[in-house]
Amino acid sequence: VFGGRQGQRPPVGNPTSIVCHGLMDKAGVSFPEAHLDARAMADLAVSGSEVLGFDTLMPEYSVVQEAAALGAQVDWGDRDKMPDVKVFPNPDFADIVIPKDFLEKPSCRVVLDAISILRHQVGGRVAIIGKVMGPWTLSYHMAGTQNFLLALGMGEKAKVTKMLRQLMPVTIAFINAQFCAGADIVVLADHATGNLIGPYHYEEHLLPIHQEITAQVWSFSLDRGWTVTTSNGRSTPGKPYAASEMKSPWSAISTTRKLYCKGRPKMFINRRGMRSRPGCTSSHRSAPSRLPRPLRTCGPSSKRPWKVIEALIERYSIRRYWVFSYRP
Amino acid sequence: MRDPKMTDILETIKEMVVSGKFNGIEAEVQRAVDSGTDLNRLINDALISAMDIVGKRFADSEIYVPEMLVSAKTMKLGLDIIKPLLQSGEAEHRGTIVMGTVKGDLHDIGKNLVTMMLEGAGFRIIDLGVDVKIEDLIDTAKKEEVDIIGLSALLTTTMPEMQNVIEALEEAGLRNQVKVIVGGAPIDQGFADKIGADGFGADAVEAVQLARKLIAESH
Repeated sequence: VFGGRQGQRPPVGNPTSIVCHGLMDKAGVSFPEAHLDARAMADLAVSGSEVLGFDTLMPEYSVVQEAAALGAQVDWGDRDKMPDVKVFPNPDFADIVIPKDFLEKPSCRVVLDAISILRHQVGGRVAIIGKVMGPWTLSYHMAGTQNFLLALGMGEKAKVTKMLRQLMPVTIAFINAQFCAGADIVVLADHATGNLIGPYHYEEHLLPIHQEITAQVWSFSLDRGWTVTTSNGRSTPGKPYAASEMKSPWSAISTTRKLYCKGRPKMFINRRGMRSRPGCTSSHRSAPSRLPRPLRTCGPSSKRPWKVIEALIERYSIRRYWVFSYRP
Repeated sequence: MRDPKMTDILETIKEMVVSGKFNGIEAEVQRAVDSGTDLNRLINDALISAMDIVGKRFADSEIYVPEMLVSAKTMKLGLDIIKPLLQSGEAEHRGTIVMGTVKGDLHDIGKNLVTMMLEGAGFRIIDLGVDVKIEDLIDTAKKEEVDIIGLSALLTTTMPEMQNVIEALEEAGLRNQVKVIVGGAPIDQGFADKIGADGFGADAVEAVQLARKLIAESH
C-alpha cells in the first residue's frame, strides 16, 4: 500500500468504522450528512488519520449504501443512530432488478466520490479502505434479516440461491468501482456471522458465491488493492472456514487459467512459479511457460506461492504488479 | 398412569417442533385436540418441552438461528390452534415479561429469539420492538403488571442505555416490583452486575432459565 516504503514503526490500520461523537466534533462533520455528502464523508474519514493517527482511513460508515441504491427505504439516522432499512423491497423474494445506473445512484456515488477526494488528498500517505456489502448482507437488506434466515431454515434453497446470485453482480461492480475510484483496500462485509448461521450454511450457500466474486474481481493490485472479507462463518473444530484456511477463496493468491483484468499487464505468474504473457487485456487463457532454471532454484518451493512471486518480482524488477485469485 | 396413545401424540408433536416440520403441525395439533388430549399437557409436554430441546441444541451449536426460527414458527402455529380453546384462567401464565431492544439499537434477531422461546415457555410477552424509549418501558411496566423487563443490545454504544432503564425504574418506584434481565452480544455477567441488573442470559436458553428462576423466587 505504501509503495514498499518501510517506516519507523508498523503501520496501524482499522478496517471498520471508527466514528464517535468526539471524532464528529473534531472533524466538524456529523451523521447523517457524512453518509450522504461526499465532502463530508471524506472529511470525517480523514479525521481517522489526522486525529486518531491511524495509517488507514475508511470513508463509508453505514451498511446500507447499496441497499438504498437498490430501492430499499432507508432511515439515514442521526448523530446518535446509524442508518437502517425501514422497508425491505423484496420480502417475497421476487426477482431483483439491478438498475443500470446502480453506481450512479446517490448513495453509491457519494462513496465513490469520497474515495476519489481522499485519493487526491492523502493518497500514497494513508491507505484508503473501501467497503462493499456482500450478497448475504444485501439479502438481509432486501428481504429482511429474519425473513431471509427463516427461508434458509425452511430449506427454501432455490429462493436463497436466487437472491444471492442476483445480488452478486452488485458486490462485484461496487468493489471494482471503489478500486477504480482510488481505494487501496476494499473490505467485503458479508454478515454470515457465526452467531446466526453455521459452517454448513456458509459452505452450501455462500462459499461458492465468494469464490465467484474472488474470480471476477479484477483489480487485486498489491500496491493498490487488497480485498479482505469479514465473513467466514463460524470456525468450529473440524470445520474451519477462516480466511487463513486455503479452503476459503480469500486466502488464495495466485494466477491461473482464467483472468479478468483491465490495463496491460506484461506478465502473468502463477502459484507454481510459471509465467506467461497475456493474450489480450480482458481475459487470458494462454499456457504459461516455465521459468528459467536459475530463478526456480533460487525461489522457494511451490508450496509457498507468495515467496515464488516475491522472487520473480525481484528477479524482473517488477515495480507494479497485480495478484489475482483463482477460480477453483 | 400415562395413556400410551396420548404419549405418542405428544411425542409426535414434540418431534415435529424439534425438526421444524411446520407444514403438518396444525393438522397434528388439531388431531390431538379432537382426540381429547389435555390442552395444558399439549402445551407443556409437547410444545414447550420441544423448545427446551431446540434451545439446548442451539446452545450446543448443533443448530443455528435459521433452524431455531423454523422450530419457533412451528411451535407458534401449534399454539395458535390451542390458545383460543383455553378457557379464561385455564392457561398457565408463568409471568409477564416486556421485551425490547434499547434505544438507539435496531438489532432484533436475538431479542426475537428470546421472545419466541419465552413465549414457548409459557410466559406472557409484550414485545416493544427495537429502539425502545425508556418512557415506553416504564409506562408498560406500570400498566401491564410486568414481572420482568428483558433488555437487548448488540452495540457497545447502546449498552449504557440498560443502566438508564434501571435508574428510571428506581426513580419511578418500580424497581422492587420489576426484575431486569439483560442480554446481547457485548453483554456479560460482569456488565449485568455492574449496572445492577437481576440477571444475564448468554443465549435464549439461558434467558428462559433465568426468567423461570426469577419468577419462582418472586412468588
